[in-house]
Amino acid sequence: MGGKYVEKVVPSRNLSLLNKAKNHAEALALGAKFLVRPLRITYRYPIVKEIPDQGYRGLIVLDDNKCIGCSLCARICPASAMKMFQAGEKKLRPAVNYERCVFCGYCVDICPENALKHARTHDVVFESGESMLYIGEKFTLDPDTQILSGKVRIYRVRVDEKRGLIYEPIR
Amino acid sequence: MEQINNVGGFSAKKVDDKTLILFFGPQHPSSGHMRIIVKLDGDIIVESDPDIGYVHRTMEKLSETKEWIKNSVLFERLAILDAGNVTQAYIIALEKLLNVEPPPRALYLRTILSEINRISSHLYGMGIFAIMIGSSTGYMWFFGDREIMVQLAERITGSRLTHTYHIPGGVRRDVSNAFLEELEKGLNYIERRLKDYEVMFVNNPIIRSRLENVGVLSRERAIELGVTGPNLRASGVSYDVRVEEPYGAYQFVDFEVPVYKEGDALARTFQRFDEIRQSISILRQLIKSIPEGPVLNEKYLKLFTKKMKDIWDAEKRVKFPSIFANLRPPAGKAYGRVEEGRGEIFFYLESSGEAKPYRVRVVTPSFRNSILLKYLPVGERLADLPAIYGSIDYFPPEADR
Ligand code: SF4
Ligand code: SF4
Repeated sequence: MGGKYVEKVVPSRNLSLLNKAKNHAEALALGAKFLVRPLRITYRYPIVKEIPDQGYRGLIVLDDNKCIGCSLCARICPASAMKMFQAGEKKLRPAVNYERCVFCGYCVDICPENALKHARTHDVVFESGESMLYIGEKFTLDPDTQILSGKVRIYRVRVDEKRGLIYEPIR
Repeated sequence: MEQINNVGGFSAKKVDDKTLILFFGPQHPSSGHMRIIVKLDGDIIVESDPDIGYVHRTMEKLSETKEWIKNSVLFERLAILDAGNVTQAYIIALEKLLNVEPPPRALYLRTILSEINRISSHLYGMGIFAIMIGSSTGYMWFFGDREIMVQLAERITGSRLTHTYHIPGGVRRDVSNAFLEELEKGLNYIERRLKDYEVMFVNNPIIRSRLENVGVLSRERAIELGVTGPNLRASGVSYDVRVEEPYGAYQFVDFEVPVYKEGDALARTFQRFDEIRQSISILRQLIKSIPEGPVLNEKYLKLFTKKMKDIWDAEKRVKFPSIFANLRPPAGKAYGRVEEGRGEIFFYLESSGEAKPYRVRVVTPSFRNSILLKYLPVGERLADLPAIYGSIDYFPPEADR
């Protein structure tokens, strides 16, 4: 058990003219094969959208009813993206600044009440710096519902033995 | 010396009629966040001076201002393409300070992520290499296929690149059997594609003529310069941390570490593709033999509340005990080393018993390999510089820290 070293040499150095011709021909034939049936890894974003796997660490959503205002999420945030704010008398609530957030998910994982969760949305365009601050009610809205209610077609990606990745429409 | 002129998009200084000083870079991706100042006699390089540090972020100093667990997030930004391996080295050192050990299943999961990262790191390096020497097909293929590994890493960790998967005493999430099946499919795909790479890239006469006998690094020179990783092994030195000081689940699997003798750009290319083959084999063995059980050390599991246990049972994701926000390892020193895609990464941690490290020292493989850019290009043609640069898989953000 464990690893062992194995000495190797590069096979077929200094290709002969014949081998060069053969290798050229093989490379061209392979290219031609993919010309007819390309392996496409990309998809037509944003006409179609890919929704990541369950468990993807996307934007963060707060469940205001569950939160007890313990501040642990703000304390563990490595990017100082999450801060606590006064939300009414004797009530603290977190807010997140996506200008700083690195989506490490520490806040979600440390929350003892499970008041924070990740949405699967990750591609959001912000028009101004202020709009990147999610505070109060804005922080409690699930961005996934917006995306899933939009007009775009939603794809899911699946790993495939032959094609690498396959994007399957789920809607 | 004459002033700086623009020669074909490059800045250059003319020394005399025969000699020119050329500033190669720092645009990406020809040199990637660094530049090489080369002195040319005709088109032969007589002097080469790598100028690094463009993406220096004071990481070591910065880490002294952050709590222990937060630094894992900081350090994975060293090498975003191989983040799992970087944080693993840091966490191994931190675990020594805290005196906790991960349970077997966590070790397996760590190694699964390490090897997925190794494959994607090699494909990334090879992709950049390909485009540097003008093979855009290679570039598209390696980068495209890397996406499969990135997707698989995302399935485990929830994040494509910045996995932040390792925590003291274990890992953050468990995987399902469905994932292991998907991983197997991804490995079958990459294995099939390796044959295509051979035809289109490795055995392609054009690629061969650009790589054979270019940038030869002898065994003695490699040792003398303190080179690490695949570059070292491609020069005939048997050294791999996975063998010398096994961590994770490497002692539970059989694998080979290829060692090539020739030390030229071609040998380094073969070295990397062979390592991908070995990674596939390691991953297959891990899929078969992964044990059941918890993924976090008992010591922390004991701190779980009822709610945290329920979430673990339902979603197989670890909730952090609140102590994680305030880890205070006893005063002491520890190190962690891991074989990354590009070589050995080394962390030295010093704790004074506080919530933040007293000192962190990181030695990265790319930094140790960057010295090659001073010696390997000398005596070669200018046109071979990209081939040499690409073949050593140098990653500037990792070197600069
Ligand atoms: S950790 Fe959870 S409960 Fe505590 S303040 Fe943050 S969101 Fe609220
Ligand atoms: S995901 Fe990470 S960076 Fe973002 S708010 Fe949570 S703890 Fe902070």
